[in-house]
Amino acid sequence: MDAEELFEKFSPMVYNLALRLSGNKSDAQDIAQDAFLKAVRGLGNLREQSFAGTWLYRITVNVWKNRVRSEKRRSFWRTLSLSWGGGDEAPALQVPDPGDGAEAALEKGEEKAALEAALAGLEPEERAMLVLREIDGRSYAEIAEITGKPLGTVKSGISRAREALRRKMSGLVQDHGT
Amino acid sequence: MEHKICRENLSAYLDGELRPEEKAQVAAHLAGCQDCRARLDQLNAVSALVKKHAMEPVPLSLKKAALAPAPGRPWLKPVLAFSAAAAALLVVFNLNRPGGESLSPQGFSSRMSDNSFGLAAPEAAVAPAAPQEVPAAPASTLYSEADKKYEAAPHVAAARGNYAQAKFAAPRAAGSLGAAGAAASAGSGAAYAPEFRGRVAVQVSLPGRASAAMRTALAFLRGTGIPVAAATPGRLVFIKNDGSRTTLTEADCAYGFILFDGRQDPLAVTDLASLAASHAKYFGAAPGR
Repeated sequence: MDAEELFEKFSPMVYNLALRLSGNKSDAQDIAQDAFLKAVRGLGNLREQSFAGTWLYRITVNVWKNRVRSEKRRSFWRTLSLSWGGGDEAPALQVPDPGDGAEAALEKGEEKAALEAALAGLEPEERAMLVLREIDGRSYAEIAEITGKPLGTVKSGISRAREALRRKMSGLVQDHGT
Repeated sequence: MEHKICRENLSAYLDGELRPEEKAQVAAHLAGCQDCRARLDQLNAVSALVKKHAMEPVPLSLKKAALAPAPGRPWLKPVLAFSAAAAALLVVFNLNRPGGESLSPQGFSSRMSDNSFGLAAPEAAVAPAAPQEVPAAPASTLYSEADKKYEAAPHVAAARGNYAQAKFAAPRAAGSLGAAGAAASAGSGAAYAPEFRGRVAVQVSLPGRASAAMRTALAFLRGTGIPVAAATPGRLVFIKNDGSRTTLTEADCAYGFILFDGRQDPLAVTDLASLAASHAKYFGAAPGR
């Protein structure tokens, strides 16, 4: 499998996995790009091509984790420098629950927008687990390997994610479910 | 099965991820519980909605960016310039020394001759290791006689300051501190040690001292497909896939090859006649590589 083939076959899922992990398109593109660059460099050493997807998704998750770690470090130093600077303490931000938008979108009959709003209220890794399962049809064991989480965490993560979506989109899923 | 336990397992039931006995228990509960059946239907509807709407199209620009050669590293330019200057100074001072002693072998960094070296396994590929991605030092001394085609390339690449794209630069090349580190260590006596990861054979010899036997051995190794790197005798650090490090010194191998597969301890082969047998024994001991 060459780089082009790897991209053609896996880019939709790599990008969408990155999108669900990062929560925004700009970061998703950066993460997917980094993941492919790393993957292409190591492609010659990929022994089992049948594992290419799992391998590539794991790279994607790790790229995201590294970015999160870097961002936390930067944030820590920013906070530290602010507090040393003796500046006024910043007021706590009131962050609305992103999932709240789901009901409003539903009322307007915007199914996709409602889903996006509901997904935004989930933890990044729960979103990733959910799309790996729903879109890519990955087994729980594969998802555990990709995310580096125990099998039980994957099972409960997917269950929590679906349950949260069910609650936030209750009107819609009741229509579908009945 | 209790109502609550059934609810906790509905999602996995939907995915067919329960053990047979759990699946039977949930099915039995569902048969008699309308609430749980309704909940299962709703989870099914959630699943259908995600399948229908959650996939976003890939931006067109991603392909070009993702398949482009590794980007240049602007910060590397001044480092390369300093490295080149330091290396030049070293050479000048060394030539002017009375007695014409050679440079400290430890003053040289190693070089990769095959750009597949570095990401030996998927595990290695996913390891967060940005600092290890710095390419080989520009002032690396190239002396592998069997590798003539690369001899002029590093200087060109160094001058352009675009090392990442130089064809000989491995993604995880050793000696990332480069000539700056080499220059510092040569002056202070501190040991600068090149690092090696993944599957590799390291040719150890002084510049220009490779014998016919070594060239034959080198040709044999190339034929096996293993990446071959070159280093001068001195401290050489081998980093296994699990992160543990083994350091070999001149006492272990002053002339010959060091075989390394990222899993076992490195094997120094100083008797070139036994290289083929040692190679078969060492890499044969770790099948599937």
